[in-house]
Amino acid sequence: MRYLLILLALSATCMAGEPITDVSKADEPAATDGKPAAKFTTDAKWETAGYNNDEIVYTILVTSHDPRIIRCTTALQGSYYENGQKQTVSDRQLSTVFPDQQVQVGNWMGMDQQSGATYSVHCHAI
Amino acid sequence: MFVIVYVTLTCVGGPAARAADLGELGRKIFFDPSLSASGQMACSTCHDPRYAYGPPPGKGIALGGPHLDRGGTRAVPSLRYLNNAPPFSEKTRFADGDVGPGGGFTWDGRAGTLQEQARIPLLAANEMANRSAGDVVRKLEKSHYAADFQQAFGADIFKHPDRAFDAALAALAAFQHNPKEFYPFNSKYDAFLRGEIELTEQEERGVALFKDPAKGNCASCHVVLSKRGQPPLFTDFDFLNVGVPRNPKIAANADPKYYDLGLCGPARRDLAASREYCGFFRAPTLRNVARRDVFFHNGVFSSLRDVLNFYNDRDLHPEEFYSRNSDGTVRKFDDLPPGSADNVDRDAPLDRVPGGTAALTAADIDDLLAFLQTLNDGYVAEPQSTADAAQHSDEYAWKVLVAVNQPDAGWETWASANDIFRPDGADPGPWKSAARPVVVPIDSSRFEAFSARELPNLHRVANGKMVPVSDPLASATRLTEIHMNQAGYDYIRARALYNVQGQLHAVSSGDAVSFPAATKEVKAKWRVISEAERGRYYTMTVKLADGAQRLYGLTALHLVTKDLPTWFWATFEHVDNPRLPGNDGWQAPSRDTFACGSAEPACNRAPSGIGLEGTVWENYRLRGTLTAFVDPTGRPNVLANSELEAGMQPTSSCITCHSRAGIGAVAGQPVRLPIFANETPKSGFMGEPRAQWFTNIQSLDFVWSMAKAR
Repeated sequence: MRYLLILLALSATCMAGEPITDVSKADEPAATDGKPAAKFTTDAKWETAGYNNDEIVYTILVTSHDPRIIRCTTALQGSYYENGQKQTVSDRQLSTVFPDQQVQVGNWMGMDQQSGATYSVHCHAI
Repeated sequence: MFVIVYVTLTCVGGPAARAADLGELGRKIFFDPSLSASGQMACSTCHDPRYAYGPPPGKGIALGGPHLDRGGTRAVPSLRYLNNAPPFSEKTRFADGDVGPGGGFTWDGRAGTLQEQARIPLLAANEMANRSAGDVVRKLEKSHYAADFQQAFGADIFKHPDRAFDAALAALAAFQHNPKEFYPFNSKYDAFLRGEIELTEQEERGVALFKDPAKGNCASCHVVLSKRGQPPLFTDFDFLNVGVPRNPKIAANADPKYYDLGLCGPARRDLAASREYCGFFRAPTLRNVARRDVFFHNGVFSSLRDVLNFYNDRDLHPEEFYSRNSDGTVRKFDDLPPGSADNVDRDAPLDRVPGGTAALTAADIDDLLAFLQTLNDGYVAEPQSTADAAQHSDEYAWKVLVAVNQPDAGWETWASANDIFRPDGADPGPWKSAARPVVVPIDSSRFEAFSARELPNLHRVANGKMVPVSDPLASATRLTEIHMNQAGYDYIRARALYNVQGQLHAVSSGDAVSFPAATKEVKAKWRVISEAERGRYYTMTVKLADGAQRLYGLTALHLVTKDLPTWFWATFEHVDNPRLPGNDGWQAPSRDTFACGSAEPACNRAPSGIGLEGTVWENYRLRGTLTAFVDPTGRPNVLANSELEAGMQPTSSCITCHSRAGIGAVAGQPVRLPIFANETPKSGFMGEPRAQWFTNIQSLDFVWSMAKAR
């Protein structure tokens, strides 16, 4: 499952539900600090890593299309099962992305793939 | 080799006891911790059958006494291959014509017989710590086998403590004459001597170095000659002083005036005046030496490589082995009293001078270590039979399991997939025999690991929160690993399949990738287990990055052999798996016609008669074997392991999944087929391979581990 968003905006929001669907929305291209909005794209995927626990890993990537260094905040929300009960879990990551580079802003394992995940990425130039 | 069978022993009085019965009684005594003052120390505590009746890992110099707090002064020796030890004599004539002290039991030969030897630990204050023979007998009288004892030696035997104590020692000695337990002569080297197998080139080089008087010169004491039809014992029971460094971990060595000088005391007293014998200890057999983690009489070294380095560099780099004087100078031979270094052995390789050349290179030492591995008991040749794989699949699976799990020479000594497919894609180099480590470092070179490059910001759910994973292996509740034997390893090297470029070249060459029939590969899964579960599992002790140790038990094992063109597939699981948290249970019954018979192939038991009785392998089950994609009616064959195919058992087929192992090039970029179908939940592939899979992909002969190549 892959998502690809071309964004000309400050933030990107993606959500995956059951069944996993590509529901994404780009904010308006506006920057609050007067600087031009950061240009970047995001990509997310579920992967069976096949390591020690056959871990399923959810990965979010950010690719900068900006000539400036950008700083990104990635928020993630997903679900996991504990004692048969579905629970929600969230996380937040800060990442620095250099011009025209792609980085994995986070890798999360232990989440339930069927329940999907939601993430948002906010980037600004520094 | 000799075997005592039904010999009558009357030396201890009472009714004649058959040796076989006496041996069984001796076995009970041997394993009985109630015979110690602490109630926790049996003979077997230190002389553990799992380690060739030598010490378990980390217990080489044991704590004993009533409260298990009194330190030993010597390394625990193995009790194997003592059956033909001659009595001690100062006039022993050795094979090279020398005459000198030789024979006897214990490091200083002070016990003349196995009975005398057995007396020592029972009464030693820092071992089993009984106050007297009568003390031991009172415990024997309360033991669960007291009636057996009376049956063997008479109803009134306990009324005669001295006779009863001697009887117990005789029983212990009889037990130690059990050939299966104490002198099995079933190492790989024994199989080689019998002409059943060949040694590897490295092992052959190791033998030559072992014998070469100018190189290892090991055979001058650890003799390799067969005597009177008996395979070599790798000792001539000679005594010598090699100047072993002092071991500061021995509590008694805290006293600078204390020296353990072997033949001339203090444990042995009759030769105290023979100063020429000071520092002399008996050369032990080297059979099973590679299974020890404590070496020489004082246990100063903890690895066999360190021992060989000591022999090689003692005189070239003494600073690496010995302590220093207060002025900073090296105190060579620091476990001998000052001025008594004249007794130290100076035969090669202990004949070097500083600045000279070592007798052995690093490669020589690797070769010697490889040879010494062949002296471990319990070798079983790897089976290789197309007919058995095809026609007696379940029986063949068990036989392969036994062969590849033999102590210290099994699949854990094979090359791991991460060793073969290096991150830089380089040639992994010639095959190296490796010992099964006593403690396994948690290392991504062995276990499947998250790559720092691939997963830089790894988080996992813990207690409802996402937490960073700084050490993915340490945080894994299960560990997975893949190993391949030498036949497969050598093929990968010969065709340069260890990197992507080599694989692309191979599949485009017109010479199909086809592994040799002797190839075997294993995929294993371990889970963290408690100490209480140790006895039920094949175990591995792992050392974490912070130095802590963790016990793992083997939960699952895939065995794959190239006996058939489409390989032979078998999978085993621990019988406890369905009860584990996170395990989906066995969603299809096991099928094992060898253990269960054809009428009830899901009987859920291990087979008898192949040596599994009394071992942890009784707790493992063959879940099934595969030799074809479909059954005779065309239905896909399914075989799953609940640990290794978690979440996809109903759609799992080893043979079909692995048929997809391949590589191709699209637009100049290497491509492979995905391991799993792109579905949720995860699913596998079953049935005959489909031609469309291979539009752009060429087969890599079912070996998925090749996808690790860079």
